[in-house]
Order: sequence, then C-alpha cells, then structure tokens
Amino acid sequence: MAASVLEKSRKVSPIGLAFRHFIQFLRVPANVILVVGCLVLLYFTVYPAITLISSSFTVSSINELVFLKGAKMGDLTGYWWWYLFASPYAVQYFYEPLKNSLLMSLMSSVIAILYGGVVAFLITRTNIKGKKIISSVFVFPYIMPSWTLATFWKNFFQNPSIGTGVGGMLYNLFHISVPYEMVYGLVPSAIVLGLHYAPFAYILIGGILKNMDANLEEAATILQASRFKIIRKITLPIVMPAIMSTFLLVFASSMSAYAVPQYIGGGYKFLTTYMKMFINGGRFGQGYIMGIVLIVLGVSILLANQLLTGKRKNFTTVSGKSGQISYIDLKWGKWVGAVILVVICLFFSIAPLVTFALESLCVIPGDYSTFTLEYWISQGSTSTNNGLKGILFEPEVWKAFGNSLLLSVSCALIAGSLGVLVGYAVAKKRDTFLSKALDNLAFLPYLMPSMALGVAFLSIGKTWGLQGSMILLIIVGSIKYLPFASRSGISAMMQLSSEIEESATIQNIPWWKRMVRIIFPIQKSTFISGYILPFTSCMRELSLFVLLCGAQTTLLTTLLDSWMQYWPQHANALNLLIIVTVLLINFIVNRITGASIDKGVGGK
Amino acid sequence: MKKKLLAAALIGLAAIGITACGGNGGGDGDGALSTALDPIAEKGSKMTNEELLAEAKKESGKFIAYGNTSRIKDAVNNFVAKYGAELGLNADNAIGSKKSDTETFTLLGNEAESANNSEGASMTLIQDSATLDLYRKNSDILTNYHSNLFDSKLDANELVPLANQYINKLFMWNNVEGEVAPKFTNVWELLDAKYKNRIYFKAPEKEAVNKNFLMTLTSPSWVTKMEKAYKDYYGKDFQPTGELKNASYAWIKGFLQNADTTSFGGDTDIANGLSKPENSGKVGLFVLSKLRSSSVLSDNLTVGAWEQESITPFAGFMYGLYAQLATHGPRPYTAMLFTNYLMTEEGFKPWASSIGGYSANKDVPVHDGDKDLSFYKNTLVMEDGKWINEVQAELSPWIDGIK
Repeated sequence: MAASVLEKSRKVSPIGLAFRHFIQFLRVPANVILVVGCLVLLYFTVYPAITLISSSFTVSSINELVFLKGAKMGDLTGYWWWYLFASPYAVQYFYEPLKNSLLMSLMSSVIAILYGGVVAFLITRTNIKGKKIISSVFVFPYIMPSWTLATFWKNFFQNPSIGTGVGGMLYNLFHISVPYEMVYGLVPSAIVLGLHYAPFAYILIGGILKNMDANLEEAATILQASRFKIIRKITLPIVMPAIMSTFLLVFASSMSAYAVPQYIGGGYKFLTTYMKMFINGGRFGQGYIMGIVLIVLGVSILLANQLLTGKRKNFTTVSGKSGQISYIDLKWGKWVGAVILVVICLFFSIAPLVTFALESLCVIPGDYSTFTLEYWISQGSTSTNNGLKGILFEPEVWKAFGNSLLLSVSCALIAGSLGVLVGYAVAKKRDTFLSKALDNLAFLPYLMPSMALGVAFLSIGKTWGLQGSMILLIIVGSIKYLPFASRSGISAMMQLSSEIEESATIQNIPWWKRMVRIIFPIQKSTFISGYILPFTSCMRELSLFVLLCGAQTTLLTTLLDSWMQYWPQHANALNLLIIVTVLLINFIVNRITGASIDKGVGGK
Repeated sequence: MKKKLLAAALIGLAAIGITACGGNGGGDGDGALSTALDPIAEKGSKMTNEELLAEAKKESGKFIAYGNTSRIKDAVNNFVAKYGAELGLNADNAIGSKKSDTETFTLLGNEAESANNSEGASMTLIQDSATLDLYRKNSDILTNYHSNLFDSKLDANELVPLANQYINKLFMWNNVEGEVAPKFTNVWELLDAKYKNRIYFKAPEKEAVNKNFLMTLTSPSWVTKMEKAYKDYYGKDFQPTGELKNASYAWIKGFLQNADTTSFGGDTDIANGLSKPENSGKVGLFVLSKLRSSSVLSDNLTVGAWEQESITPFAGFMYGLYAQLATHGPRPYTAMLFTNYLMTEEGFKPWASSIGGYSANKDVPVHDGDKDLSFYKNTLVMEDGKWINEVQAELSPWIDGIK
C-alpha cells in the first residue's frame, strides 16, 4: 500500500507538483493577501512611476507642438529633458527653482528643529509650568492644513509699503510695517513651513528626551560638568538620530510643499509652483520631469533617513526608559517661560483663526469699519458681485464639502481596510520574502511627494480616461495614505499572539469570522487610527489633488485654492470652515479613540 | 486684356472673401483640420432657430457645455428655462461646467476616444486663442459653427473661430491727489523711474492672458505703433540693441522691470488695494470687471481708456471667449442652438450684469457706463492667437526670464 502511494507520487510531474504546492499555498488567507496585495500595489505604485517616466519622453499635449515643430502627438522625444537640464533655459526653469526649493527646505528644517527641539526640551527636561496646554496647542499648526499659516502670515504682516498696500492686522492695529522680504519670498516661506513642521521635531526629539536615561546626566553632574557641557556631550548625541530624522522628514516634506510657496513665495520660483504652471499650461513633459525629480529626491532623502536611523518603523520609538527623569529647575523662569511659550503657541494657532474670521467680515479688506456677515450668510449674490452667495448658502461650497467628505470616507475605508489586511499578512508571514515585499510596497507611497504622486496619476488618469473623476481621486488618496494604515495594521498585528487565532482555527472557524469576531475587536483602537488618519489627512490635502480635480470633483481645498486668487473674503471664510471642520474631526477622534499627536511627549 | 484683368481681380476678391468669411465649418482655409461634424455645422448654419430646435428634439444624451468662466452654468440654466421642456432637458441632464482650457482640451480628447460619449460635452467656450488655434490645426475635437442669423452682426474675422464675447484689461490709476501725477498718455512713460514698483500687473508666467498680450505686442503692426509712440515720447527713433530686437521687446522688458508682479494674489487684490486712498498715483493693468465689486472704491480709480486724451498706442488689452462645437459630442444641434442663444442679448445676460464683458454681437448693448466693443477694438491690443503661436517658443521663456 505504502509502496503504491510512493509510486503514485513519483508519477506526478514537477509542474503538477508545483501547482499542487501553489494551491496549498493559496489555501492560507495570509498568502492570498500577500500575493494579491503585492500585485495590486505594484500596479498602483510602480506602474504610475513608469508611466510618468515614459510620458516624459513622449509628446503628451498639442500645446507642446509650438516648441516641437513638425512633431505629432505621441511621438517620442527627449526634448523636455534637454530643455530642463541642458538648454539655455535650464537655469530659469529648473536649476533656479531647484535651488530655491532646496534653500527653503534647508531653512525650514533648521527652524523646525530649533523651535520644536527647544520646546520639546523645555517640556520634557525642565519644570516649566503649563506643559499640558503648551503641548496641546503646539501641535495645532500641524493639525491645521499647511496653507493656513501662509495665509495668516500674509493677513498679519501685509502693509501699505508693500504692493497695493492693503494693511494687515499688525499694521491696522499697531501701524507697524515690515519689509517686503518678511512678507513674501524665500524666508517667510521657510519660516511658515518650519513652524508647520516644528511638531515633527517636538514629537521625535521630545520622545527621546522624555525617555532617555537620566543616569548619564546625573553622572556628569556628579563629575561637575557644566550644564552646557552636559547638553553638548550627552543630551545632543543621544537625540542626534531624532534630529537627523526630523531634518530629513521636514526637508522632504518642504521640497514637495506647494501651497506655502504659492501663497507667499513672491517672485521666487520653486519646483512645485513651476510644476503646476507647466501642467496648467499644457506643457506636460516639463511637469512630468519635475515630478520625477521630486520623487527621486523624496525617495533618496527618506532612504537616507532609514540608513541613519536603522529602522524606518521607529521614527518615534524610544528606548531605555529608566524612570529617573531629573527636571532642570528653571526657578522663576518656569513661569516666565510658560507665559512666553503659551503666547507664542497661541499666536501661531489661534491668531490665524482670528484673522481669517476678521478678514471674512470686511467689505474692504483690512478696513474693520466695514464689517458684514454677507460673505457667510447672504442668501443672494454678495456685494462682491461675483455670483457667489454667502458660503453657508453657496451650492459650490456644499458640493465641494460633499466631495471632500465622500473622498475622505472612501479613502479611509479603502486604506484602513487594506492596512488591516496588510498588517495581518505581514505579521503572519513575517520575515518571508513576500511579507517584506508587501511591507515595503505599502510604505512606498510615503516616500513619494504628494504633488509628484498627483502628476504620476494625472498621466495614467489620461491613459485610463479617468481624468478629473472621483474614482481617480479615491485611488490616489487611498494609495497615498496606505502607509499610515499599514503601519497601524502591522503594529497592531505584531502585538497579537498567534495563539489567539490558532484556537479559533482549530475549531474550524472561517477566516473572515476570525478577523471580524476576534482579531479586529481585540486591536480595535489601533486599527481605527488606521482609518482615521487617512480621513483627516484627506480632508485637508491640497498638493495631492490640486492637479487631479475636475469641475465636478472640486474639493474644499481646491475650491479655496481657486478663490484665494479672486475672492479674498469668501476664501477667508472658507479657510476658517475647513480648519474648524478638521479640528472638530480631530477632537471627536481624540475623544473617541484617545489618540493624540502629542501623546507620549507632553500631552495626555 | 482688360476683361482678363477684371476676371483675375474678381477671382482674387472672391478668394479673399471666402478666406475672410471662412465658410461655416472647421476645414475652412485657416489651416484647421476638417472634422466629421463640418457638414452638419454647415447645414446648421443655414437653419433658423426653429429648424435647429426641431432637429435638437431628435437628439438624446446629456447636454454638457464647458467654459472657462463660472457664468457658463447660469447660461445653461437660462437655456434650459427657455428650451428645456421641448428638448427634454433639465438641471440633471443639462450642465454648464467651468473648466480651464487645458482641462477642456484633455477632456474633449478623452471623450472623443470614448466608445459611448452620451455623457460628453457638446460645446465649449475657450479663452486661449493661441491654444485654440493649435488644437484646430492638429486635432479634430473641435468644430467651428456660425449661423447666418448672426454673421452680419459680427466682424468677418470673428467667424472662424467664432468669437462669442470679449473681456478687457485696462490701465487704471488711483486718482486721489498725491506725490505723483497719475495721468499718463503714452505707454513709454510707464518705463520712467517715477513708476518703479508703482505699476501692478500679475506676473505673465502666472496669468496666460497677460503673457499673450505681451506676445501679441511683438506682431509687426504693433511694433510699428510702438516705434511711433517711442518717437512721440522720446523725440528720436528706436534703435535695436542686443536682445531688444524692436521697440516692443524694449517696452516689454522695461515695463516688467518697473512693475510689481508678485506682491498680490491676482487682479482682485490689485483692484481692492489700488483703489484705497493711500495708493495715490499708482497704476494697475487689470480686468475692468473688477470694478463691479463693493470691495473696490471705484470712485478713486480712473480708467485710462475713457479719458478724453487716451493712451498712445494702447490703453490695455482684450481677449476673446470662442464658442466651438465638440465634434464628438452627443447633441450637435442642441449645441448649435445654444451657440446661437449665447449670441443673443438674453443668452449673454450672465456676463452682462456688470461692466467689462462684451458680446461679439454688435447688437447686444454693453453695460451702462461702459464703452462699446468697437471703441475697445480701436483702443486696445486684441489678442492674436496665430501670431502668439509663431513666436511663443522664443518669447515665452524670454518673458519668463525678465528680472
């Protein structure tokens, strides 16, 4: 009997055996997820990048024919590569914007580290008062959309000595005029981005500082080392990896920032603003190449970050908590420092809301004697005579609100659910080739700057005939925010003992039931954050969608981008509406799940 | 011999006439490609509105119109109010959709390739005459149509492509008494040091129509006018030097170097800010229609073109919105009826509610207090798409590079 079975198995061909193994392999749900996940993500991440590259070598628009005499649509060409990198126009169209983007990103990184690092140090290593409120308010600028501070900056510092002379809040209240270079240009853009991303530094550096072993510092104190020497020789080296991480993350994010340089960049040219200009002008080839450059820069910078920090998963990971944190006694400075910090934090978080509210109430911008509520509640066309009603009654606003909501909910559901599945499969099959491949593919979109990813999908959207459609926006949003959800999913699943599921498997409980009835409920809160992060990020996203929205798929953020140029009062009202919506969602999530950005540093 | 000469002259005149009138379709001698819709457009051009309506009733699918203006929505709504019941159109299946020109061209291209185009656009309003010219010559997605009903109410050169309306940007200055006498009568004066950073003009690289205006200024006819104005102002002939090939190049460079192009968001900011009393003597070149807003103190602004002694050789510029049928759209007859509707006073209403909008139809009156289209045609630089396409590759980067 045994011999005949052996004989039978010998008769099976190698192909049949492989097929049998494959079928067996696919009987395990985690394997199916790994295979399908890898294929889907390969298609949606690598394919757009390849399409982007190939499109940059093709005549993609009839507008390009003005420059390519005798060419036809679809012809192969290396003209735009030459034009941007080696032609007489390369400096003005590529190298100068590149230089400005690099300088702005460099400055914003330094500002973010200095501001966020100092506040993190004060909160975690000193006995400064009001830690909870400072910590909560400090991360406000990061929760708010990126352009918020830029428009606030303009509303606040604008004065009659600049341009057409509308007075901002500072001038109207105190008659103080700052120079042009403080309102528009490289420096204000860098400051605003630095302030926006300072919470990165606060969270990363603060996380290390809060948990670092105080024995080292105490030993140095016993050896009579000065406070400065302790900071230089002990504290700084310990937090150096966090500083490097912050630097690279802020640098990469600033490189792909669009709204800030667009609003207050003045006469400076940046890669992102030029990219949009080229795409809008139908010169797709140049826009595509800039997108490729941004992707290469983003991937390089974040790979460098991985090399420096060892593990990319552990941006906020801390270690060696001794429980012996010694606070520096600031004496009377603990009150003074607290007051100064609270004022600064409130200034950059509450003041923007106040200026948006004020500016949305003035018929004549900056003239507070011309107060009106018409830009909010007028049911007919406002006196701006632009055909728009007050924003609460303007159909365009509610349509955009509905689109934003639909997009955010869809992206959250898709990215969040994929994140759970990715987490399950990666954890179940950890250390296998497919597991590592899926883990990396799910993280890849994080490395691609938003606007560059938008350009990549613009290119394939045209190929698929989906340009300007909600489906395209949902695909892009889900892909871009998958890393948030997959990180949550993986960390949730890694904490879960496999025995829990095994006991259910032994009782022949189907896989879907195990997921819905056992696994999800246990790690509910972590999984939910994988749904919530894509939702809030989508609601305030501009760079990712600015090139992709069509007239029927206008979002709140892209509507604002358009109104900023034409209708300042309506734009300020809309801006306030978006911020309040995002903060409200953040607050509700915080109350329901207990998650907060500053958790683990100075928050709850 | 005389007879032969007369015959030759008549043939020549006929040829010129045909070219000027351009026929009714797309492949009509201006270099545009022929399209599948040309015969229908040709047929439609000879029909009355009632006949078009009868044909339109036989059509099915949505009626969608794109336009580079938010008012296209109101225009479609008004059209539906008038013809909707007979055409089976309502707010759900008749949509006016605001789109940038680039979006429109891409969408029409995609829709043309779609197997089922029942949801595609049937007509569009395009703003950029240069890009429109390119698309008409290199693709078949757009078909020109103009009705005999309106041909006599437009200039011959407005029929192909069909101009529907115009928008103008004019020199305006703050007239509150102050340090600099704001009035000027020759554009070369704007290059004087006293105007340094006191002129507001949105950066041409951010506003396509502004760049188109500057490029049009380099056409031979405008170079001649600019050289004459130069002589009038400086009392000597213009001498080309280096990159400044002619007077227009010199003016463009000097103007952009003197102007502030970056410290505001757009024409709305210019209008709002410039009208404030403290900006006495400052000048802007921006859309006239901005004066309609209550945020603009329009009494403080003087429109240069309206002054008794106007500005030599131009007081601003003007660009059109052109109506085109979508060749592969589902409702060509509805689109033709709508195009005709837009040419009427009733159809133009959404744009006529304030100054600064001008129907190409001479019979449609302008807004109270404004000048009519013929006045502006003689006073302003009219955008020239064909010329722009000839010089764009060279001029566009040159203009972008001026510091």
